[in-house]
Amino acid sequence: MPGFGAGFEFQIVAMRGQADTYFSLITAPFFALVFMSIMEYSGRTDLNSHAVIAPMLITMWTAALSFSGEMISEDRENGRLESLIAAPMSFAMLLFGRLCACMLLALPSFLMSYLAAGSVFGYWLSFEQPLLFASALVLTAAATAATATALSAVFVIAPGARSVQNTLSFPVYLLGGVLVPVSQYPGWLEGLTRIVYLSWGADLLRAATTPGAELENTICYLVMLGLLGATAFALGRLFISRFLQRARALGALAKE
Amino acid sequence: MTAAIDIRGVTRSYVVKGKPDFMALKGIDLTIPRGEVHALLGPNGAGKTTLCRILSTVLLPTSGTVTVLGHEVVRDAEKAKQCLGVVFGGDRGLYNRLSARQNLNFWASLYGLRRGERRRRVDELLDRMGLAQRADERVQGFSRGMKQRLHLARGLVSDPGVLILDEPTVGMDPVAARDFRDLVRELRADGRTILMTTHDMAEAAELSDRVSFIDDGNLALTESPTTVGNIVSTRERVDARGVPQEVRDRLTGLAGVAAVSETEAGVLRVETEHSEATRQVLMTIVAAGVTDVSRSRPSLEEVYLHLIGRRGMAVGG
Ligand SMILES: Nc1ncnc2c1ncn2[C@@H]1O[C@H](COP(=O)(O)OP(=O)(O)OP(=O)(O)O)[C@@H](O)[C@H]1O
Ligand SMILES: [Mg+2]
Repeated sequence: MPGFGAGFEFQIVAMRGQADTYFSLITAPFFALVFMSIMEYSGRTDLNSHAVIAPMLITMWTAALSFSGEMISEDRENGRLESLIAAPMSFAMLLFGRLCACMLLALPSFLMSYLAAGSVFGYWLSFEQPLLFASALVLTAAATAATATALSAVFVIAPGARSVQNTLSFPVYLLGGVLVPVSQYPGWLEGLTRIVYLSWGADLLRAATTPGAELENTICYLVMLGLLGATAFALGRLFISRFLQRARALGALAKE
Repeated sequence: MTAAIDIRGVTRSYVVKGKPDFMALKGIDLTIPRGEVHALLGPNGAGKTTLCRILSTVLLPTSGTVTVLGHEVVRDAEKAKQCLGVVFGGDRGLYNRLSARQNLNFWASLYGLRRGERRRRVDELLDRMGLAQRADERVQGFSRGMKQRLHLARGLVSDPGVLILDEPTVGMDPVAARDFRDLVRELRADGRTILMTTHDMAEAAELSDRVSFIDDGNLALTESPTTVGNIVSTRERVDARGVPQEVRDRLTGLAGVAAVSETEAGVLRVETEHSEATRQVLMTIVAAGVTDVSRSRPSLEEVYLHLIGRRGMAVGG
């Protein structure tokens, strides 16, 4: 997969040299503190792990939206898209690799939330099932990157979609059960959330860090998360190949 | 052996809003054997870049077929891409916030080069292009010519057998342009095939095995630059400076001399019908003590102007 590795490495190099990449991270510890104080105030300290994990998921999704929005159009506007397409690699894989690297931003975000909750509220998240936590984290990040790959194609096929780009944040936090577990929702809404990969990922991450919390069927959660991520990637690949085919037919790869 | 590039009946039309489709290429046939350096000449808007794009798989032909080392660029695009190096020059097309080295490194990774191999190749190319000193500076601050060199390095990163260069020397200073000519000669000596577009006739004449003239979407002519002059004139010519009037009169009277004229640059030009007459002309001139004398053929530029016409600034289409 030369496309994936090239994209992953490239994005790290590109982000390193760009200070504005990190601005979104500043919000993470504050989110954690806001959520923690809600938990403390309402006496639901059993949900403390949610307060620490939610900011990380928010960072992931924010990064997915903002990076996917620009990724293709930026290359096109700067006259790079043609050279990229002329290279013998999968363009979808390149985007996926780049977006996976963007997900690395979740790590400092998580660290800051963890430290904020610990130092201010004395709540130190405990890694009950470290292996489960790690695999859920990797899968959630990959599924987010896969979804972002599909979005990047949507944003370039239908530039109008860019205008709803920012409105895609809160509905996804809600449907993904980022803060409140979807099991707390009314039944009909919970059903809807189960097609959002994030709802499975969030449940897994919390289960792995909450003492005594057991999911009925962990494997099923992991498989669902993987499947929804794979579906998103398959859609992304399809959208991208459609876009490229059309652009090559119209001569629209090089937009001046 | 399959040709390096085989173009058959290629047309390309563009959809233009509110107008009938615009035909940028009207049926191009061209075969370029392996190891040839081929220059594509023609006025602005002739369709050169369009053809380069089709060759490099990023634009689909409306009809016709193109193969690169036997791989069809539409059906077999992945294979074709692997043997192609492409340079669409210009100010754009690079990652401006990254350094020259980071840019090249990325492009090398796209072609699947492993880490160690990549480092070696990138160093080598930075050096070859004279960019080693500034390899770690952001491309943003590069001059146009430096960017152009980086574009070239990018095209060479995968060590391709066939190179498509769209105006590779635009913006280069004379030294860089001379280095470029050396580079093309080296690449040619390695057996690589190069198709390049240029507006620099001297460059085309010096570098290419054959040149093609493209005008308004049609291929007007494909010839070697040494014989292409025959299109304009089958006569031989002798150019000389500082020839006294009395000698000029004598030259006019010689058998086989077709015309004696003075060029814009103040050079006496004698055109002859055969080589015996040429010999007589040369002897006469030298005997008169004139040493600034040369034999010449119509330049590529003359042929170009003859074929394309003195269109001035008007763009076809
Ligand atoms: N995407 C496009 N949509 C519509 N028309 C186009 C498009 N691309 C090129 N053309 C037209 O096709 C014709 C050929 O363009 P092309 O860029 O191939 O010319 P060229 O020979 O490279 O010219 P130059 O010497 O200026 O680079 C031009 O008339 C141009 O306006
Ligand atoms: Mg051009």
